Amino acid sequence: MKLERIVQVHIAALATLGAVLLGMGQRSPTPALLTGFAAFTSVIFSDGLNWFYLNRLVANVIALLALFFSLNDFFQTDMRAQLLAIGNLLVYLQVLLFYQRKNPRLYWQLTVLSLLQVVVSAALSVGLEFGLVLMLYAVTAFSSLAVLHVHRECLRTIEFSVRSRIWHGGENWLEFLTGDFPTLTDVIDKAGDFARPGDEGPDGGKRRAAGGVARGKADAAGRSAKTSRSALRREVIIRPLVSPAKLGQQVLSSGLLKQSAMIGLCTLVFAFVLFFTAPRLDSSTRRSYQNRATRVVGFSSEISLDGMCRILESSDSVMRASFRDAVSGEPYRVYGEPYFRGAILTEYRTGATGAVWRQPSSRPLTDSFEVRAAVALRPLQSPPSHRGLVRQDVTLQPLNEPALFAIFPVYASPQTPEDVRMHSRTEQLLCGTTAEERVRGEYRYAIVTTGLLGGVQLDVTPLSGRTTDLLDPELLAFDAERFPTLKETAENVIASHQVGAASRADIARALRDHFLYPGAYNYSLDLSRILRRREVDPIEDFVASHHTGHCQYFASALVMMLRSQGIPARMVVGFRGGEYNSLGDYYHVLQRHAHAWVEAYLPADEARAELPPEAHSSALGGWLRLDPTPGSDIDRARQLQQGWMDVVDDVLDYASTVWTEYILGLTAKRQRESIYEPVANRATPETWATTLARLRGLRQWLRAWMERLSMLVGIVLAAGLAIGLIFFGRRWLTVVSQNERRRRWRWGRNRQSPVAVRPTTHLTVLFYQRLEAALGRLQITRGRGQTPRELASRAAQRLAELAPQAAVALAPSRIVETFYRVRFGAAELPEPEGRAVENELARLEDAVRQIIERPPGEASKHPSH
Amino acid sequence: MLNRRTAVRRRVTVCREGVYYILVLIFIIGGATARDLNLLFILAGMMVGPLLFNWRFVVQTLRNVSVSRRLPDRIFAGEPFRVEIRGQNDRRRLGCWMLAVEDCVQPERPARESSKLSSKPNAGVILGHIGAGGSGAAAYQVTLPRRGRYRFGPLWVSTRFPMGLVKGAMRCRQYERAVAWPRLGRLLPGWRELLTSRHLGHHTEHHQQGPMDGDYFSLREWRSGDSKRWIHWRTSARLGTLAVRQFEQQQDETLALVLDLWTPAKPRDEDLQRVEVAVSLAATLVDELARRGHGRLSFALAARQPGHWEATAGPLFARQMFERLAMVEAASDNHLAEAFSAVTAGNSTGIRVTVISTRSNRPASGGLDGLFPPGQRRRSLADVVWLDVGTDEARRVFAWDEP
Repeated sequence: MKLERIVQVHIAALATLGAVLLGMGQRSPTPALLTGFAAFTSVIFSDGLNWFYLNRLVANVIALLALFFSLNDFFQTDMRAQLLAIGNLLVYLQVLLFYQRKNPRLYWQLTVLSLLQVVVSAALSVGLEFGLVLMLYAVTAFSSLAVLHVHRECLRTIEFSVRSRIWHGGENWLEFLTGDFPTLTDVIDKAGDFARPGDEGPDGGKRRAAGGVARGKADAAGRSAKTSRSALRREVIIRPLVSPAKLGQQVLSSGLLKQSAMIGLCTLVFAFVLFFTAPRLDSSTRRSYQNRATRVVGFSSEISLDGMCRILESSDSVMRASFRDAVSGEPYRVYGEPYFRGAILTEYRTGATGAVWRQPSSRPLTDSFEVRAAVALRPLQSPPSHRGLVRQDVTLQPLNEPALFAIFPVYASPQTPEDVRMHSRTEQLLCGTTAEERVRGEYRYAIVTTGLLGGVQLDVTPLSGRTTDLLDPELLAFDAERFPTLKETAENVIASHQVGAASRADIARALRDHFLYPGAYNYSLDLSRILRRREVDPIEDFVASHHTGHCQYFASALVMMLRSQGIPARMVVGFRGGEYNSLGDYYHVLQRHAHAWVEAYLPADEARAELPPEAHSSALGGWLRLDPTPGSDIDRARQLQQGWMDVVDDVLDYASTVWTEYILGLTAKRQRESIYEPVANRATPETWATTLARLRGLRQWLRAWMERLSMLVGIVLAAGLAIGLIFFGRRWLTVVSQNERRRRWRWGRNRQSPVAVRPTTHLTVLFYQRLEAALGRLQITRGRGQTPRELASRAAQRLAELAPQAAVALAPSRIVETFYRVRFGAAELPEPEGRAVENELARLEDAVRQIIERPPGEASKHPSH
Repeated sequence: MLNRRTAVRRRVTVCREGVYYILVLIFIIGGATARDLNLLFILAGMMVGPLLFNWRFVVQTLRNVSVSRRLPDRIFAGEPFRVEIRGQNDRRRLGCWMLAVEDCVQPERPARESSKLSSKPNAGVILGHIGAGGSGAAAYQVTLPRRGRYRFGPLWVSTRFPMGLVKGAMRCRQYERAVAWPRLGRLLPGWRELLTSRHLGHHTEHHQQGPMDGDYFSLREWRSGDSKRWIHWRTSARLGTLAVRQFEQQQDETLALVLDLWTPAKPRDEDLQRVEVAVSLAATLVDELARRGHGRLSFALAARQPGHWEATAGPLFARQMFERLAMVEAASDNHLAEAFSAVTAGNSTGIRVTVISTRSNRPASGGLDGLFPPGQRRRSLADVVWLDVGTDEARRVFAWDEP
């Protein structure tokens, strides 16, 4: 390939990558598509085939129009909008330059424009993908600069010739001595006589112009050369003996690209060393464009139900939460999806502004710590003497909300910041610093909880000792006239489940299961096509009519159903689950994990009965967590299916964490703590000598490997490229799947139940299937909305009646508990326990066989389902 | 060969592109500091790296590279020739790329026209790649338009590799002087006719000394027209190309030649042009005689630097005459008498003298009339052929590419 073509391809790739980076900052693919299209079509049609070029005058006029067009956006108060306008202008100018006749100056202009695009995008972007593409961009930039430099130097061979001819071209001998050199542009412009086709070069070949540089000027310069030829021949004529193209080929074949790649890698290393060691200014008051606080989509301390529109899921990061044993500090594995409680909403109001869930306080929370302190903010209590304390380390992204998120109940730990407070009335965890201080960067806090046992989050949250709002009338507020269908439905559900006399927990679960029954309700974020009856309360409308909503509708309906049955209930908003990263042992919680669920109050005895014996409980009772939103198992099922793509995801997410922590978040303080102080502490002569010796050894080792490294470098680059492709492909697939889901909703297709979407047969543990089969032979089958535990409870009662002597009544419960741990806790079943389950099943199957084979006289005792 | 001792100055500067680059870099660092944007810090680091690397690479290249120039030993005006530039890379591991070596080619003016010579380069080559510890060469082609003395040098060695942001250059004080011999023309058939029919300036005293055509002088490559007897077969077999023996001719076939370079006190361009034609014709004649191995040549110059030389026409003599002719200048004084006397003094009676002159043989133009004493005039005038280079007769016997 010709050197100039290589330069063109390099510049096209560089410009496209720059536009990709800009697109990342703008969150739009338009710059990349536009620039990429212009870059590669110009290389093919303008530079390669010479079909057309943009006239410079026309290009300048268009550039002026683009400038005026962009100025409109530029004069805005928002700095981000100004940056976007600058970025767009750079793209327009670049596109115009691409279709002009190329010369080295224009290549440089394209390079500078691309660099400015990266500057703009660096002020707008924060993601890891930006870093990855930036590295690719850097290597491409080095390579481009190198080939561009070689191209220019090759053109200098023309410069030598032309300079000599022009310089000595005058009639006056004195001009020979005093003449000055023309600039490179003059040289290139006047190089036409070197571009004459068919001109035999000194090397015997056809000497052509160096690329397309001088083609445009060839005719004019050729005419002037003809008229002054006799004059020229009187003077010194100097010509190169090798053409620029041939020289370029020689250089390219001498390992130039390999050299450029090595330079690029060395420069990257240097850049990172410089980045980490260059001292930062302590800039707590400065604020970057991209670190602005973002509002959490889905989470709010106030929920409105009247907006029948489409909610967009956002993949923006909210927080990273990791769990450690509070005593040993070892990572603590949490099975299933943790529920991070945020705000408690108890008050439901309807009015001119619509139906709204609010916090119990009549006064809205403000960002002022002093004001909040006045409304009974209290520091966290010390944890009880409990051996199962788990520490939660949370890194919260900048948010506009004062709320903090955690698994409840929460207690203070030695690492807990002093400004973490608990609102005594709302039980909401809050941050004490002001919004102005907090909004700039991430907020880190550590608190301990007793809500995890054996890796599983407990369903019941014991009340803390100081809570004084148990008798809050809002917890039972229910307007029967407003929710007639809802109340009737609740009563029917209770009647159908025959749990009228059962515990509050059973009633609550029965009501929750009503929403989970497959096909009964539809989960959707797009409510724009729902026919809403404005005269009816949105919750009542949801239960009575359209049965379609998102988590806030499900939670609202369950709260009202529970209250209709006299059970104190409240809505909780926060986050459920997150993307678990096995590499870093943390949950990465995104905006789309925002969730609303329900908490129903259980008296002390019931709460204690719901908790394992070793769990911490409270004399004041507890809050039973109920999640009525269908589809809860989807993510859980995904978690159980850890494929290689998930591993890649984990690696990328961990890299993203490192990127966020140590690249984006490298402040002066962190630099001092993480780099300067460790280095200073080890800066004794002995350590330096040891370090130098190690470095020398490393250098020798590197030298030995450098000779074999050329292939390795290629492999590493290919691997980097592959990871990049996988990463972007994954992101692309995610976007496509989200779009597909939305499209399906827009076209009115019902969302299938999680069970239907993902058949659970492949997830179901075989021994549980054997249990259901055995019980099925006794006509004990799982009813609609019935959980395995409830099935086991029913089976225990029946088995106790049918075969009291067989002592197998408790076998289903034990098997189901094991099943829960394996199925939902993602726990490995130890071999002794597996044998125990096998024995239990064998005894149960024997008992069932005996019951079936009983004499006919005793057959009347068989259950009628 | 140049090395660092002969390099008088080494300088590293930031190129224009580098200035733009640094301006953008300052802008980025300013933005990063003002806005506390770590991504901009990384970008700045990525930009500082190539800049420093470029600087380091340039400095190291210049420290470890040496260059030299090689000129051909025969340079004729109007005839292109190669100037070879050779570079040596002393680095053990790293090669060097895109080394630009620029040269300055300019004429040296006579001392009385003293003017300061420029050292600005006007020629150059790019040494694309020189491997570690190796050498490389490139050449440029020069065509010198006029005879005379030229100066080559100094050599400027520069590199901007790999990024083109920083330029390192060193000026190597390596000067060479070369003399461009007169431009050679072509003798037309009219010249031979003139030579044979009128026996122009010939005086034959043949002394064949043996089977060979003269004393052995040297070997040279075979040219069209050479006798097959001159081929040295052993050398030809070794070289793979025909080589012939050259002989200093011992034939006493004497050609007396006077080159009369006269110009008015204030010469016009045509006068200067005539001088060049006359010198070129004389040089072409000498070359022709030397190549053909003609007998003796008695050559006299009537010019600012008068002189007389007589020898067997051979390569050595031709070379000597080319050197003289390269530097000869026209004069407004009349030196023709001395020149004429010189060529006729040592020769037998009746020798014909060929005068190549820039003027016509007329009294008004200061020709032969009145140059000799009355007793000598008739005989001398009868044996003289006067060739005015400004006339059509000269064009019939001689063709040259007018500069």
